[in-house]
Amino acid sequence: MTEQGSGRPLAKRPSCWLAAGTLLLFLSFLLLWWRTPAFPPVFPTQVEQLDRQIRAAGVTDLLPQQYAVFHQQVSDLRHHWRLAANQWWPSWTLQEFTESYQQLMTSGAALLAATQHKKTALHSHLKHLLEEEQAQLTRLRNLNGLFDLRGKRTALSRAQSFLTQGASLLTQGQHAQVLHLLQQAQNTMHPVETFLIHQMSRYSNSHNIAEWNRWVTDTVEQSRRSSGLVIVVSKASQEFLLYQKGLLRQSFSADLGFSGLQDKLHEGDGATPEGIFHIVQKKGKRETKFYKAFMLDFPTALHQRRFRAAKAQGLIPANRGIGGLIEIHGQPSGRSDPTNGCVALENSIMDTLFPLVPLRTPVVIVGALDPINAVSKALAPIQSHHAQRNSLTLSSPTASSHLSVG
Amino acid sequence: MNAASTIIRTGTLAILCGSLVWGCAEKPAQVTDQALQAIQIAKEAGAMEYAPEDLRLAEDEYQKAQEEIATQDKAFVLMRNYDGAKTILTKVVTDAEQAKAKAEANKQQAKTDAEAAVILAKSTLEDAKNLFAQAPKGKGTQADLQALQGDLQAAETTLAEIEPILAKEDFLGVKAKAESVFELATRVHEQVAHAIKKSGKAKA
Repeated sequence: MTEQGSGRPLAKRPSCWLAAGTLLLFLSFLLLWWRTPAFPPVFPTQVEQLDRQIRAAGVTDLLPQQYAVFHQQVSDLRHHWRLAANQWWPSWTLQEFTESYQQLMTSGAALLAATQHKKTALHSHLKHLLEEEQAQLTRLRNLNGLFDLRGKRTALSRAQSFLTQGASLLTQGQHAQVLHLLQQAQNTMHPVETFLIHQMSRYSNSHNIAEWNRWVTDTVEQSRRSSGLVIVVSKASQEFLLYQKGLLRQSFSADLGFSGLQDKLHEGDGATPEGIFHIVQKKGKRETKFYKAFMLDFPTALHQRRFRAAKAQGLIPANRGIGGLIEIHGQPSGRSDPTNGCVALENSIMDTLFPLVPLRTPVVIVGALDPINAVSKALAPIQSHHAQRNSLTLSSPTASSHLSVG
Repeated sequence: MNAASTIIRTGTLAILCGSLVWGCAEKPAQVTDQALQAIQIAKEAGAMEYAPEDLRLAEDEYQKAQEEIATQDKAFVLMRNYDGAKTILTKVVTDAEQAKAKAEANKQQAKTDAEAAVILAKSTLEDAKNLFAQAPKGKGTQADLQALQGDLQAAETTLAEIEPILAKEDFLGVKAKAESVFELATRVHEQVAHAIKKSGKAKA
């Protein structure tokens, strides 16, 4: 086949080949472009929903750095998609986009799980801390009536209020506020705790225990030699022990002052004094309003010296005296009421003792005779919690940073 | 050059210029302002506390619209198209309005709950104080009475703290405080009632 006028076959003309080749190339590109899968016209929303879910779970507070990375990756992917979706010939393939998207979904799901786990752990941790502080507060409140907590009870009630608020806000997921309330409760309890630990530590102090034992041993030994009676009152066990000729004859349960376990310092403190006393007066039914009573020689010279020293140190209010009228007296059967500092026994026991116990009988009132006693046992968890809390505060820059670690 | 030729040339130029002007899409400034305003209104209605997820959705969509606008800004002038951004911004307005409505409803509910808790706390505290005045007094009850007095004082202090935080519309905080007042007052009430019952029996 030849073209008229040129004399050369059409297939042999270079321009014809060039045109055919160009057409073929164009058609190939067109086919390739046609077969290339298009990017989605709208950015798929699953990853954005996941992003919102993660934020709703509290990731910005709990895992802020990890979230910043994830959020940036979401933004970058969306940016790439936008560029790719707007180009005729994108630098990315749809497959690459899909793979990146899937990877992001996987890492997002992992971040969500980690956030939820951390949130649950923080919730449990705060709940545990609230329970621990509540237990400590209950232990402190239970000492009401044994130590002088006047002027300190409102603090304990305030601490209770903070803990109740904390428990309420914990159910609402207000973790930062719960933490703040926990710290308020701890700060409010702290002075009461310190006071009680100081008072209760006397009962586990080996020097005190040794001295109290010496008082009892010496006095009982004297009674053995003189074949007389000795009364021993142990404040920790609230026991009244009657010794005769050096041997324990009888023991009874006794009630003490309203701050009975405290070391007596002045009148009206409700503490039962410790020391070696003697019965200086026996009061029959018509001589006392407490059925029958043995009056003790409190304050002794030793107590007076201690009182003056304490007053000089400003430990006692200026208008307070040393106190007196400390008795062993009766109280109706079935009643277990604290006294103002006296030792109370049931009336029937007073009936038994009254004819037996003569004037000048030694009465030894001690804190405890055994280092493992009711007070030292009650002190152990209080002291342990106090020390644990202090060590936590000391071991971290701030309590909140410690707690936020969960 | 004849008249017909001049008309054709002028017409062609006019069509070209018209196409150019028509082809230059405008940024969706008005709807952007509307979206921003809607988000701000939702925030003022308390959406950050009471409808955070709905607000977050609106804010995310707004961010996407801004990214879309930035992409179109970089495109060739005749290829710019802000329709996608406009669609997203219209959705932002709807989402923000929804967040506002939800925040208002949730806030109202929280307020109602908090107010109910405060009323209950106040009445329980009043009852406890009245009963406390009738508590049996004696040597044996001194420490207990002082402990209960401490509870009443703490309840009063906590109740006094409610008013300022109510003004700040922290209804969750108000409710928590009211609940603690209720608990302290209930404890006082129960213990005094028990003491009165016990002392009645003792007298009998």
